[in-house]
Amino acid sequence: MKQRVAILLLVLGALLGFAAPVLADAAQAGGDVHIGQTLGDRDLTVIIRRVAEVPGPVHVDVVTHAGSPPGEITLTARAAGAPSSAAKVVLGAVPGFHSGVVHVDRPGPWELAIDEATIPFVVPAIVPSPWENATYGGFIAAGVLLLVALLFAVSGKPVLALVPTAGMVAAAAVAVTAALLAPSIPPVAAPGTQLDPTYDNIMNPYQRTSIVDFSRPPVNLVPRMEGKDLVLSLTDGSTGRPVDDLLVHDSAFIHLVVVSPSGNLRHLHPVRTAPGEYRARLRDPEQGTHAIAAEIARRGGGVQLLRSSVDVSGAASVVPNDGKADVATEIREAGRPSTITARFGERNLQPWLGMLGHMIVVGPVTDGPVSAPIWAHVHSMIPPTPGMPDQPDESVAAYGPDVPFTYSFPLPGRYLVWIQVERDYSIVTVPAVVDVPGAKEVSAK
Amino acid sequence: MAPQRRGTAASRGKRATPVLLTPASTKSGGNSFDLRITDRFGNPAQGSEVVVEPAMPQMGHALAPITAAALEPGHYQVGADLFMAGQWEITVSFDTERVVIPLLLT
Ligand SMILES: [Cu+2]
Repeated sequence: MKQRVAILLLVLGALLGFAAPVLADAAQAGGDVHIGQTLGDRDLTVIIRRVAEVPGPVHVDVVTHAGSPPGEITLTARAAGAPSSAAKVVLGAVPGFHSGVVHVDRPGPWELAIDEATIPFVVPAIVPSPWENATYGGFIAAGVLLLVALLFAVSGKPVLALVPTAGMVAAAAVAVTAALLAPSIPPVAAPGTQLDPTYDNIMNPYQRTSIVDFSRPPVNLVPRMEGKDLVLSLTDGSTGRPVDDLLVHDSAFIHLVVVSPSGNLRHLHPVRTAPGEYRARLRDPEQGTHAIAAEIARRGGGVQLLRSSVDVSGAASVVPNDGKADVATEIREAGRPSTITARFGERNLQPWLGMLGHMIVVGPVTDGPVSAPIWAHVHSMIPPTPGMPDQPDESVAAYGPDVPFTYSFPLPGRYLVWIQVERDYSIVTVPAVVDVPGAKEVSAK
Repeated sequence: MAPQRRGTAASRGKRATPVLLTPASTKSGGNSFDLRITDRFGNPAQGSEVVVEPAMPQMGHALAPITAAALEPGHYQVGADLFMAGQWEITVSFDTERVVIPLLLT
């Protein structure tokens, strides 16, 4: 009997060793949130660091960029029914990282206010899944029963030892089954990304819902100028109600590209000032009708591109985009992949919005960007580093010098192209014009 | 692990051109593809330039096209750095044909 117990012990050891990596895989925690914010005259990147414990501190980094005026901003963490926590952050004249710490006292849907901008974020609750409970509970029960069986065995009652031994096998079976099945159990809908976050669904994230399709209706975009600010009103295409469920996608709620009549590009990240209302300042604008395009992702999935135009009163001429790079192009006929490589000379580029580079494509332009049929946003990616789950932030200035893009221009014609990278905390915008030939042969697709 | 063989056929009108793509690896990173292209009669495809266009639709990301080296008629070899794990789409284009082959990398 002692020998059998020893064998079971060995088996149990083997099972535990097998189950461990499965559990490690099942436990996933949220990461840092990076959000671009065009707040007044400043272009900021706000990084809300992973919340390690609740109640506890939330570390917030505010990254300023070149040309950002020095001053003071106030960070405030707010949640319904919770005391709000504020911190002042002094932004220096030198662009870079500035830190502040606010406190949260409970999991749930929170809001980080930076002056008049508000960023909704979720403080997750650490809740073990039912299958984790089954796995741990099963192994603990098996361990206790093993001890009981051993006690019976050494005290000379081998027949009695059979009972706890059988129980131990059953408990271990439960644990192993739960551990083995865990990877195949579909993940539950996440509050904040698929479901609207509430205190209840954050505290009980493993409750299943009857919803199968999480996608939401398209969004209507109505822009207007309010003084120097471009104000965007977002409403639901089915109900007309304000859209207040935007996800952080490629490190911003809205990627807003504004092209002036003379072809000057701005890439802004409007701040949320009210449900369904976002705004961004147009500094020193040009007179005339500007083409605008907003890239958004709603909770529940899918990215949308919303195009519109807005009349701006301003100066007759403005300083054009003046970024410098050696731009090498290999342009193929419409429909085939073309490559555009911007060579910046030195390996000191910083990730901007999680990417090595961005290329905005507008065209073919016949009578201006407003009526151009194609509007694209192409990325040059930073290859993922194994073992680094969090994206590198802007403090890592070690990328480049070449920034390649591949894009299949859908139509022949003349395109306006802008390549954007970050260097020395300054966004460099390199304008270019690309002529795309028609297909050599009519290709049936 | 033995390399997986993936074949697909492009059909356009009455023509059907089988392309057989065999990746050297099913892991992300440096890779190379062995390509066998035959015409509708089963003979090795002749002469035309073969270009491989890798893309990752889920990431919204395409890589620069790569021209494959011809080893013998209908037999080509091409190297590609597929730096991310996930579902890739490898478009093989030659003449006016474009054949899209899905490739899952772990
Ligand atoms: Cu953006």
